[in-house]
Amino acid sequence: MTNSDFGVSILDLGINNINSVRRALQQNAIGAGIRIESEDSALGNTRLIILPGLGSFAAGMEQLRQRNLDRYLSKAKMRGIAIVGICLGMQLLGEGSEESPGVEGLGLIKGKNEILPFYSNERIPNIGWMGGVPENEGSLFPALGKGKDFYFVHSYHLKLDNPKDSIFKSKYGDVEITTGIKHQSVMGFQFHPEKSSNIGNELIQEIIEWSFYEG
Amino acid sequence: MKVRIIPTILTDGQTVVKGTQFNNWRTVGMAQAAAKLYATRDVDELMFIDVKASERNSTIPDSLLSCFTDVLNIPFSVGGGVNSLEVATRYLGAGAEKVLIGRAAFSNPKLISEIAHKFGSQAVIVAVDVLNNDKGEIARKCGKDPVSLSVIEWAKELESLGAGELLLQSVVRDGEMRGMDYLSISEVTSSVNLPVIASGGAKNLEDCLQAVNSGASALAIGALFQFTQITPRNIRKHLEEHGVSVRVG
Repeated sequence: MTNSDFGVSILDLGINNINSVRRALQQNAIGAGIRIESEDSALGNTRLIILPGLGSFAAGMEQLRQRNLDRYLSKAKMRGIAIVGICLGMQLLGEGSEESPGVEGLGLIKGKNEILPFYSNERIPNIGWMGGVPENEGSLFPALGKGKDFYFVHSYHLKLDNPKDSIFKSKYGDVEITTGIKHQSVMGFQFHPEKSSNIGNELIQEIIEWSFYEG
Repeated sequence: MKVRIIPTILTDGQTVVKGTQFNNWRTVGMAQAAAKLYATRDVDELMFIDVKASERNSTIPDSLLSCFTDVLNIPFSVGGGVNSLEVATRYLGAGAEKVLIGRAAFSNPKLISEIAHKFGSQAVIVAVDVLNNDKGEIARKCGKDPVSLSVIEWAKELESLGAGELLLQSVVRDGEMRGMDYLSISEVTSSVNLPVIASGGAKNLEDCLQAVNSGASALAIGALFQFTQITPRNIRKHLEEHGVSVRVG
């Protein structure tokens, strides 16, 4: 891909891990310009916005609001620009979280985050490599269907109102949790593609291609 | 969740080192070279610790951290000199998934909560240095100055402070390759709900399996990889053959 008219924006919340995401995008050798946005600005030629996550739900929302990035994301959603939340970034796309009662999420997708259920054979936080199965629009991204593991670090999971918005589900204890979401141009992954070795790179490449050509 | 094999890269600020009982350093190469090597071997995760940072009263410079971010597409944790929220913020901002807190857990336990509040508890690993579990002693200050405190009580306290993971290190076994501290692993993993990374003493594949069977969620391994032919892949394969679920890469 060499069309540098396209742009990828990484949102900088001051508390998230933008360097790893930037490195992953660069490794994928896209011709697109990579921008770091730390406040609301013109969307310009942006075709893909990445919201990397690290931190607590409340801290993430506070940073988004302080920087008017909540507005930036709402505008992007209205224009159908691809938005991808990673880890906490995916959780922030929802409407709220048990982690931070009373704090409103971005509400770009219908659902709320809940603490992972307790299972004696699982640990919280849930840290490490875990696989999953694609469903619904998950077939758009072949990397999800290869049976490979991705890297997770989380204690909460997004419970969607509409099961059709789930594109990837993983087994946790005796239940299945949603670990990939997509509603129109709004997407999210509970795991870290940028830390998921080669399979993560493949997924990033597929997300970029979808955003630029299909989104 | 699948069991993780985590090679540890120890540095004294200049070179990569490996301690035998936390002192007596041997130079085995430079940090980035080691990180690159492990990255090409597709390990599950890496841990990078500047073991002399607190002693020097310094922290790991951005230049060193960025040589990890630049080459790694797997998660890594950073420890050494994490004694304030500012240091933790810098390490995590540089691309580390998690920071490892050592002696600050004793001198300033509030720091654990502060980091957990800002970044989430999954970003905080606390090192628990077990000196001699028979006497119920945990150690502080990198192996010296034992404190008489039950390992279980301390682990529970760390969990309530907001730690996301515990690095359970056996000080007397560190670098000695004479088997791991299975008793401590089993006691701690059955008293907290956090993932426990076991470290210290593994000499062969059987030791790794026994640590996992004792409840460890992950193994942090230094000497075994540096001084034997065993690779992370060997361990994963051995665990898998014994019914332990490991990463499909």
